[in-house]
Amino acid sequence: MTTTIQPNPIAGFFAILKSEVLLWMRSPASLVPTLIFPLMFWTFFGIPNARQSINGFSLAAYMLGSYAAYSAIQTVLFNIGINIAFERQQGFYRLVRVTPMPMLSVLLAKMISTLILAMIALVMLLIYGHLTVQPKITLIQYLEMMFRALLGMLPFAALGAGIGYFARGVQSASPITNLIFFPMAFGSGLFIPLEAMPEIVRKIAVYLPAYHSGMFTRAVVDPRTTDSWVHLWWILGFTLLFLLFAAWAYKRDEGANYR
Amino acid sequence: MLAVELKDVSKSFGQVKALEQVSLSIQQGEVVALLGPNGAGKSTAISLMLGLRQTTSGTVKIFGLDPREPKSRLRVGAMLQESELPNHLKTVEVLELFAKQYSQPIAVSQALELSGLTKEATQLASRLSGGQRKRLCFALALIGNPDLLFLDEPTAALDVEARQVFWAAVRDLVAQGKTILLTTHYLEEADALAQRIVVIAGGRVVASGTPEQIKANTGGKRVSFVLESGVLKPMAETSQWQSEGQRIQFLSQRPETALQQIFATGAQIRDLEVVGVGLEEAFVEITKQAKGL
Repeated sequence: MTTTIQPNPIAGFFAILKSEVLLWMRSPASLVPTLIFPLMFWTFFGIPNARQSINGFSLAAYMLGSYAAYSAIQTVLFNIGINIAFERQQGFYRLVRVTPMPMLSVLLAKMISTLILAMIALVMLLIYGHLTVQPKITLIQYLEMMFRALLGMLPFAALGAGIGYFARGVQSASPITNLIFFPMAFGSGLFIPLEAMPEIVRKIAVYLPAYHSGMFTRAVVDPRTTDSWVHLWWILGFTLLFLLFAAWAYKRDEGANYR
Repeated sequence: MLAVELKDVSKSFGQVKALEQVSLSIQQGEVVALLGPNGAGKSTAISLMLGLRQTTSGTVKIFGLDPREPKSRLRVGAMLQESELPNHLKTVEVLELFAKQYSQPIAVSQALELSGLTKEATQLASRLSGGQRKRLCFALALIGNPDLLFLDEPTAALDVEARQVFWAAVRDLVAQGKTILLTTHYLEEADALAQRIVVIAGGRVVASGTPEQIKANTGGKRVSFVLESGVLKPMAETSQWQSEGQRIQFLSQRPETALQQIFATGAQIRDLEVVGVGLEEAFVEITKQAKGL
């Protein structure tokens, strides 16, 4: 028997990653929600609130932290979920499955390329936010805020993958994502501070993953948050939960199409 | 070692039995055509051999390995009927992406040449025409320099000229000693390319043999005429002899000989019609024969 030489896994992975990055680079229209919506929402809801202060505490830095968390969550949730649903529907994964290309590499490359995109969206938002409201945030704090916002999006990367495998196609992945995302973002106090919301919303908020992403990201600039690690535990817990959902949805899709 | 081995393979989708007790062995270097009408189970058989689906019962081995093992795919190339290309990539980028997944791929430039896409190398996959996309799929099947190629209805929707070009490309691969399994519903195509034809209908193998043997069973003409005078009875050159009043109908592999014999009896006939038997009709016939009807 001839021995089969294994292909170079690193070269293979980078080829997939390149394809994933080209995917969003070459479709500028699809970048509008990711890159422009945060700037738009910041202009309409962020800036007016950022100029307020509660008990002498300026909301400028606080609001920018919320929008950073929102931007990161939106990037992963929409890009990963809808993209997977599209590629499933289109039949690209059938092609992948008859080659030695590992399915997990495709998923991982998608995550990393989306991470790059999320960083671009964050830098754009933070620069714009800084110019518009001049919050008292140092460069180090900005970097930490970005890092925290990226950690805060972990549950949504898993949730996005889950929706991508669960939905029947793009036509259903897109509304499902919107239906989950916007109420959750509002209910978690990402657009408007929770302090301005009714009691009931504040009570529910603590069980929403985006609330913890927001709290964890804002902790850099919010002196009221003394223990931000508890939010990280919530974030990791939700990540695990959504990973289980994604794994289940993946198996279900595999069962329907490849058994 | 056998390139492909199917042993008593059955596949059901719910109540529907797509394949029943199919056994098939393909030697290395052999070119086999799976021939059958639409819905016969050809694509199901291919998807089992590619590990896209699991058998309900029976075993499938590709070079002795389970096709669901990624390792078996290093030596296999496939051109599927329904699959989509990454539309955001240029032709050459699509080929590079897949070339990197194999241990000993052919050069991307060679793949472009083989598929006649050198001029379209920098065009986005989404801008390619239907025929060009099909050719890119063919190039993708070859990019890993596979020993075994699966071609699922490769020339469906291609025009006559493109089909001829494709056949020439396949013959080159045959000359290189590749093992090829192709599915088609054109007898002509199976005849042009394959050393062996396996006919499937209703999920079962109903015939298997060289193209000559298969053609002898599936080809032929339907002859019909009105007998004015004389007496005729079924002869060696005919089958399915039917007479309804004065009208006589039969099938024949050699209608010329049959008619000569008829005229030799001095019979007077009119309204003579000799028409080719459609492949669908031939499958019905061959299936009946297989069931012993």
